[in-house]
Amino acid sequence: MNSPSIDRFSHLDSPINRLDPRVKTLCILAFVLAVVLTPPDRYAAFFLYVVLIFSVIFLSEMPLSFVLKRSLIIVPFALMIGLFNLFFRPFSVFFNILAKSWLSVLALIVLSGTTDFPTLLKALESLGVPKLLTTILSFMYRYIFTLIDQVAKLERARVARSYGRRGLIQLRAAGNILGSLFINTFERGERIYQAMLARGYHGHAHTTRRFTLTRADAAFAAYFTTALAAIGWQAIR
Amino acid sequence: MAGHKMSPVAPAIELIDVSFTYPDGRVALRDINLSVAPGETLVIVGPNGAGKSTLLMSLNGLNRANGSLKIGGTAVTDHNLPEIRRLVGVVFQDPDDQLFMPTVFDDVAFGPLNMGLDVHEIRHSVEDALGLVGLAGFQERLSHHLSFGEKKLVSMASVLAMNPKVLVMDEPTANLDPRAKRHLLSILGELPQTKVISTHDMNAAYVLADRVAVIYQSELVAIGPPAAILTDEPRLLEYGLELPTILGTGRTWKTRET
Ligand SMILES: Nc1ncnc2c1ncn2[C@@H]1O[C@H](COP(=O)(O)OP(=O)(O)OP(=O)(O)O)[C@@H](O)[C@H]1O
Ligand SMILES: [Mg+2]
Repeated sequence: MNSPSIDRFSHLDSPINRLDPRVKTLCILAFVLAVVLTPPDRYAAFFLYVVLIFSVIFLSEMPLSFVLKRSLIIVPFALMIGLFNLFFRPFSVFFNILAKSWLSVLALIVLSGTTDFPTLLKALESLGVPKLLTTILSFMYRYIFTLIDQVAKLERARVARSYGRRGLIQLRAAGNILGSLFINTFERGERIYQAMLARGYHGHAHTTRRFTLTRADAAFAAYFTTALAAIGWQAIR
Repeated sequence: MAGHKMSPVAPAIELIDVSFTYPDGRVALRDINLSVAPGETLVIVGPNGAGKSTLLMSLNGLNRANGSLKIGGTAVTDHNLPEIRRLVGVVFQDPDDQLFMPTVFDDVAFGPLNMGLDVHEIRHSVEDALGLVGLAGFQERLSHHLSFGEKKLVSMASVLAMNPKVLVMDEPTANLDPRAKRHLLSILGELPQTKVISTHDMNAAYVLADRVAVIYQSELVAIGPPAAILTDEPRLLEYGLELPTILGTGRTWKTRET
């Protein structure tokens, strides 16, 4: 199956793709923190944040259209909260909500777009995120499309047997689909667990991958954090 | 092959009066007696619901059956389970159940990691196992983006990486296209392990088997060389099976890729 995935451009060989995922994760985290903590009316700082993150996007060689389109998903949510605030609060609050959410999403797109998901999970793990959490995420990543496929199959089976009738019957069919999806998923979970046992699983998984820091990582970290510190400093001064 | 001569070595698999009842009361295996010689390939045939999968899943203790069940002389008991799991590699019917890690490397490395091998050995055994199934270089591929046939081969590699003595496969050729099927059969033919394979494909049974066992309504009703079992049309029909089509055509089946 070839459904579009979040790490579609993780195979590119750009300077950003090549960075140690731990460095990338920490830099992006620092960026989001800085953005969120910047006072709302520092328009210059926000402008510079945009410049900084786009410099990274440019380096990452991801198509700009992909990044922009992706970043729009946050707009409806931000707009809703923003508009609500517009009735009671000054314009800067509205701007603040939109700018901060958009910048944060852009940063996360850089991270998730240039790192393939399994590697990202390993990086999170080596940064101290609990193994249980990363394992759950890794199963999610592995099975989400299998699950979507299953829903599609059940839905097709329903359509094939419902002669355009609507209303209560439809609702009941939807309930049944949810039910059999639950059973399917549950039983698949059971079978996967058996497959894990069959290959010697005994409660905790091990990993092989080790990351190594390179000069490029140091250079990027220096560039990014210096720029971030400079913007932050002029914003709170 | 090893199966045809009586040898003094301990059987690779020995079942004495093995029965299994599912928790809901359904009896799926009744008094199965059976022994498989080292290096032998036993193919299990039988209609849907006969109990084939149940039997296969008992061999490494995933189903805890009653009766005496030994793998290479080691009894399948709670205490021996870790060793049994190392001895018996199971390839499940649905590769989506077997490939649960995001990348092919992680999946094939899962067993060796649990066996406590070091990083270097793991890389090697992953490489070897993928090479055995003809998927060298697939390490970084994502499991959910593989084709069905590739998934099937990777599940095999993930089991071969643990270097099991006994290979158990549930319907390995189901849903494969003819070429993928030939490819898989040729790989199977070359593996030295003792094999227990269930299938609905009588041709595959005929070419692979040293002996064929017929399971019907939870019981072992016939066992013997394929030339004896798979040529007896009246009995095959009685058990809901059929003659291998390759027998009628006089063609020999090429299992090797050309
Ligand atoms: N988890 C379960 N709980 C209860 N009964 C089960 C369970 N799994 C299988 N059975 C029943 O046990 C019997 C044997 O099932 P099994 O899956 O071993 O058959 P099979 O020979 O592998 O069939 P198939 O060729 O369709 O794969 C069937 O009647 C089946 O309905
Ligand atoms: Mg079965």
